[in-house]
Amino acid sequence: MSIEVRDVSYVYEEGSPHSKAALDHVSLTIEKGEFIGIIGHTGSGKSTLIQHLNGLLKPSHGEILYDDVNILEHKENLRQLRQKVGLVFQYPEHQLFEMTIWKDVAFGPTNMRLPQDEINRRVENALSMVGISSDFYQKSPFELSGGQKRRVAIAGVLAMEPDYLILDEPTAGLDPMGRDAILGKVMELHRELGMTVVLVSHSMEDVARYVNRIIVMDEGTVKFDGEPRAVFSHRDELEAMGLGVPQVTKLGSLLQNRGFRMEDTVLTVDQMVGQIRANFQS
Amino acid sequence: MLRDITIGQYYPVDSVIHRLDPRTKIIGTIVYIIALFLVKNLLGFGIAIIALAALISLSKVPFRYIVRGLKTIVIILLFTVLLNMFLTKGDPLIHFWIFTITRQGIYTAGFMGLRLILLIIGSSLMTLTTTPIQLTDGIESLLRPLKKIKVPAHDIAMMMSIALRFIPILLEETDKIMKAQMARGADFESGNLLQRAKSMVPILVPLFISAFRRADELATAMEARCYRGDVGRTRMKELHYGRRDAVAYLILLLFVGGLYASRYLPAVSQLLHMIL
Repeated sequence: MSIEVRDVSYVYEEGSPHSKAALDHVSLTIEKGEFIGIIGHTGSGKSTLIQHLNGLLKPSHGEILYDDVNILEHKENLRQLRQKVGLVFQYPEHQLFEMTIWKDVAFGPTNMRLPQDEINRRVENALSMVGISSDFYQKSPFELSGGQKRRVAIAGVLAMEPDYLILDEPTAGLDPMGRDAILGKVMELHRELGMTVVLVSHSMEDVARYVNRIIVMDEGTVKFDGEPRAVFSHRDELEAMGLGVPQVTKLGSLLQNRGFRMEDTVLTVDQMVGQIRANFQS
Repeated sequence: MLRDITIGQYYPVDSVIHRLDPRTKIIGTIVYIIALFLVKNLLGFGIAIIALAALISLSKVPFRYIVRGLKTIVIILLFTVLLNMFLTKGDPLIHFWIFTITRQGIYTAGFMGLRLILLIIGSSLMTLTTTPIQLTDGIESLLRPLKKIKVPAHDIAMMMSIALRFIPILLEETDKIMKAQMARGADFESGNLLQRAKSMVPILVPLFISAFRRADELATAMEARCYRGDVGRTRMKELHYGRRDAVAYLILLLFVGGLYASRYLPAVSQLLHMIL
């Protein structure tokens, strides 16, 4: 069970003066059960890449394989694919349109032509997953706060019960509390339901805390792909790309230069506390 | 599909046509369009086609790119041509069931189709070679005499430039919303007319909300920068006619003169009719 991106290139507005290569021979495999972070700054091709994973964009060159089958081979399977690979766009609250929250979340399952009781089950399940209580079901989505709207929009994708959940900058424009709430929920989905999650972000801190694999994109190519520790050990290259490493990781390497003994690349504040304590005890 | 709309898009290269004063281009386009409707024979169309072809090659905009704009009017074009072909009275050529095609019908249909194509290509050439800002500056300057009869020239020009500026933004927004709804299993391509119209609701509601939000934000941003209409407003780039504009007007005059003469040269056009 995997999604494989095989030698994919993508050119925007091919044949016009504005044409621009967004992806340049990208190859990678997303295995079921992973929690992946894709990082890169604006224009690095990360949003273009994820739109290929559910067939919204068709590669100019190369192919996307879902469980070893080319997703564009059977056009009629695209709808099924989009149900299995749930994609949450940046600022998903801008897609809300229904009169009530309940109806909006039901849009996806209804498009899947599920029986009514199954739709009900999924909508309620999805809304409770993102922490929206039943008091809100009949309210208009436009009455909610920014963070709540975003959670409703994410529920709209979760209600399709995808095997893969892809989130494009789910925390953009949220305050720290809203950010932690959403990332915490995503972590729960991964841990408790075994959902494969791909988190697109340009925040190193967010990514370092949650994921078990990082893909770094730069100018349409994959620069690094591996465990957070391995990727963050390339501090200089990452800083040259304008990305840098989490602050606590940087602190760790600075301390190491000053003679502290750091056993490994530090990723979280808790690990840092442990390392410093160990230094003082010895 | 949305990318095919070239009207209102600027093609960034440097050419003589690009460097002309926007007023010259606007007046030239208007004269060209009027002239197209006065042309009555093949010779006249020949002159109009050659003139446009020369302008296109001078503008350095690829022909393929200009023609793409025609895709959006194919249906109107077909409709016009067919109506003209079947409804013009005259000498019947072909007759079947209730339809009659006349010789005059074929001429009118052909001329009308040609006219529409030249009209669209001519006006898209103007927008492709003029930035929206230049275009509205030109319009404002041309409308200025009308201020005396209380025509709000500046406001019209400002509204136009904002509208033009919003076309690409709203297209991009539509694209994004469509994709987001497609990711939720929305289908915009199948079903009957009613179902398709209904399937637009998930696009239109978010699109309107975002358009209103953007308009509101823009108004606030303009007020924050002390926008008060045109009273006391100066501009960074004043419009100036140059020598190249004088040459352009001269050529325009020659073109109109040539067309006018072509109406009085029935002998030449008759010859062309005979050959064709």
